Amino acid sequence: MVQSKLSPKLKKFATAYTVYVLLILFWIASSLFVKNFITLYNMVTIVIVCTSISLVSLGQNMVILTGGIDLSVGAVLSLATALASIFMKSDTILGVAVALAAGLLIGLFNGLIVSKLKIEPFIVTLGSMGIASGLALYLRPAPGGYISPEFINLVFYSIKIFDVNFPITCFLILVLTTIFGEIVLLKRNLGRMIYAVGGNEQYARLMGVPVDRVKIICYCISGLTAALAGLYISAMTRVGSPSVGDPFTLYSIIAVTLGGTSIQGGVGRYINTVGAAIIVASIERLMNQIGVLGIMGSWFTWIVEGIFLVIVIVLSMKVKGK
Amino acid sequence: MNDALSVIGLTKTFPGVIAVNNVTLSFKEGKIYGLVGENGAGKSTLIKLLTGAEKPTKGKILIKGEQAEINSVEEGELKYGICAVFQDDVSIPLLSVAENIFLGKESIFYKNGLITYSLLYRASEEVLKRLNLRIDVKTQMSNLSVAERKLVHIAKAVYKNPKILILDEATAPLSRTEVERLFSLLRELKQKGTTIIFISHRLREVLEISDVVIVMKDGKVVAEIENVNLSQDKVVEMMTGTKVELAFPKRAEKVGNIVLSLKGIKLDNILNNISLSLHEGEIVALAGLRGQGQEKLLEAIFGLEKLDGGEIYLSGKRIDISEPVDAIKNGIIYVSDKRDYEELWPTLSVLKNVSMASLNKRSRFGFIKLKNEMKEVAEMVDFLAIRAPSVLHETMYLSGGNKQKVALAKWLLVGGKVMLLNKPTDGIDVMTKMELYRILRDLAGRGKSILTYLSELPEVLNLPDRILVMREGAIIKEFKGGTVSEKELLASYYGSV
Repeated sequence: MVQSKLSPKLKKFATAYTVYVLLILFWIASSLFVKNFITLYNMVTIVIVCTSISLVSLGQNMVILTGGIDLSVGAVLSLATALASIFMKSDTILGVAVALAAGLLIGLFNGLIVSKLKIEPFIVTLGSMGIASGLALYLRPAPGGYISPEFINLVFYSIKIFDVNFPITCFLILVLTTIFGEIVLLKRNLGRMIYAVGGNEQYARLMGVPVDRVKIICYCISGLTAALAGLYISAMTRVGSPSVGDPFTLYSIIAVTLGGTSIQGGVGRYINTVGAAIIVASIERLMNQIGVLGIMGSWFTWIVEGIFLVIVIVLSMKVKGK
Repeated sequence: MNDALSVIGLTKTFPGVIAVNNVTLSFKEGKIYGLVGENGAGKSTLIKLLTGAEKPTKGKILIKGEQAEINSVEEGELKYGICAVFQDDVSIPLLSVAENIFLGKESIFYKNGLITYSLLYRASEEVLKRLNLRIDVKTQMSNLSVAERKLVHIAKAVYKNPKILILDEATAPLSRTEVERLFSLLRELKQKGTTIIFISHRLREVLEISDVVIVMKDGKVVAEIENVNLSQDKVVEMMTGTKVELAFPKRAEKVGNIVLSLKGIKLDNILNNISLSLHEGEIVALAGLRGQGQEKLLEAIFGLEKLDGGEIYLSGKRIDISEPVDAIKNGIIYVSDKRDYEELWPTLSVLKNVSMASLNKRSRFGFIKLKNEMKEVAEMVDFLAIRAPSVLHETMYLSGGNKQKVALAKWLLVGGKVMLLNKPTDGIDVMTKMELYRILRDLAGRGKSILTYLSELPEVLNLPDRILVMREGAIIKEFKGGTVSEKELLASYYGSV
């Protein structure tokens, strides 16, 4: 059998990074069914989409590791694009700053209410999702506004390789986000405390871990990364839009859980979340290529991804049960 | 007559370990079997195999001479009458005692498809009566003490009229009176022909109740002997394979200045004007009957309870402790007796567990110095002889004694001056206990002051420098270590000295 042939080291690697094995299997399967799936152009497109998902998932991952969940990320993302498209008219940096400040504020709001008032994160972030969504819709009822060209050029600075535009900054953002996430979670106090809070909150409190502060920081990071993703998306679409972020709540939760982070908190790694984000981006790309999106609209992708989420959660439960 | 239960060549392997290795045993009707062995000897796994919680890798289980296939605990219970009280607490904390007792069997109380609670409550009271338990069956399970919860589980198991009753460390949290009540019930069941398998680290109890003692070591049965003229020493010798001296470490020759002093500590109706002082290098034991405020006192000092009065002084300086963080900052640490869910992060590695409390000491600009961490934790693992496959192993897979050592290890890295220990030796085996006594004495020798609640008489008599007997939230008697007899001490528990 194939399994017995694998050396122990490789086996260990495969169990620690299952999601990458899954990714490669997905790519192989896709290229069997769809001609020209593995092309440089497709890969670059996947990276462009994956970067936005990875950004949102970074904060989401930290929040879920503490045992919480952030349902407001999609709405925050939309709000950030709306704010950027308004304030960039006067100044690019002002637009960026206002968008990030909004994300941070909503994160702070979530964190404070979850930790100090001890209200279920699910409810709190559902509420702030409504607030952010409503604000975005008020500020920018329909897609539009102004995103400054220099900002777009910076985020999508590209060079041509083999006839394909290679977005250097975009790659850099993905790599830096990944490194940042891994370092914070594995090598810093904060990361260790995040696992402590998610692993056993009551005990963490006993041990002198500042549980409330850790939670607040995680929700703040989540708000910030959602806003960063919003800025990124605004550069990608060149407009501000009130609903562009909607799917990202689902995307981020899929990426985090598919990446092996326990929804109960305490277990998981960001590098695997990134792997899962690549899978999500690949599904998106595949749907595009076979033309589903054109014919049937984005709802079909949503259905596929929703089904995917449920399958993943069922599978991970099964594996854990054994 | 056929044996009630027998196993032939039973083997269970987990990745990398043979937990139960080719065990052949037979259990007769109407006998009590004491199963002993060190932590990790394979007792718990054997029980899991017998109850159907785990399936054997190899071997057969025979019930009344016929091969039995036990696929689940439920099947074992219904089809073969095997009931067990497991070591881990498996109750549902937010449901009432009554709901917990009849969990999954609510349909007995259906009337028009709805549960009739009055019937459920009455039946539950009936169940508890067998053990003379006076517990309100309507209270939430989480309101009960560890001992009460255990007693409810025992009552529940007994009520099912099992043919084979298995008690895994069931007496660990119980007081002497409760143990005696349980034992008289067990003898009654034995008369009726029930086979009982009794597992405990308290050898005294095992020798008291068992007809046959079975000793396990490294997954194998090393001895199966009639309980006649057996001594504790002899059993320990079989368990460990070597002759060991059950000697407590020597007491401190002299102690230093006062480190911690309490003045008039009050807590609601629980603690009543408690004053005491703890010297450097001293081990002081809180003793007395269970639930006289000993645990609450330790928790109160650590900031887990809000005081209603009184002052705490550390080296002569008054300190304010309103939550655990304040205590830790002042070098006061607390090891709780609830290891499984309050004293560990089960999903994190030994390394991360041990290192967590002292994280800030080992980091610069928020970055953890991973090399230092590995080194310090490895040293601590050596010092306490924590047996884990590696420091990267998750703590949920460790045995009880090793979990306790992990809980202690992380506090030792914090390096506090005052250690508050709540029943530090509960549920761990003799060898580890002796090791722990030596470690505690060693720590005291290095200048730490230890205030601990001990529940077992031998350790109260032999370990501490001073014994403070508590009753109804007050210290009613003080003894110097080594100057009091068992009888005198016990008498003082009841306030009759």
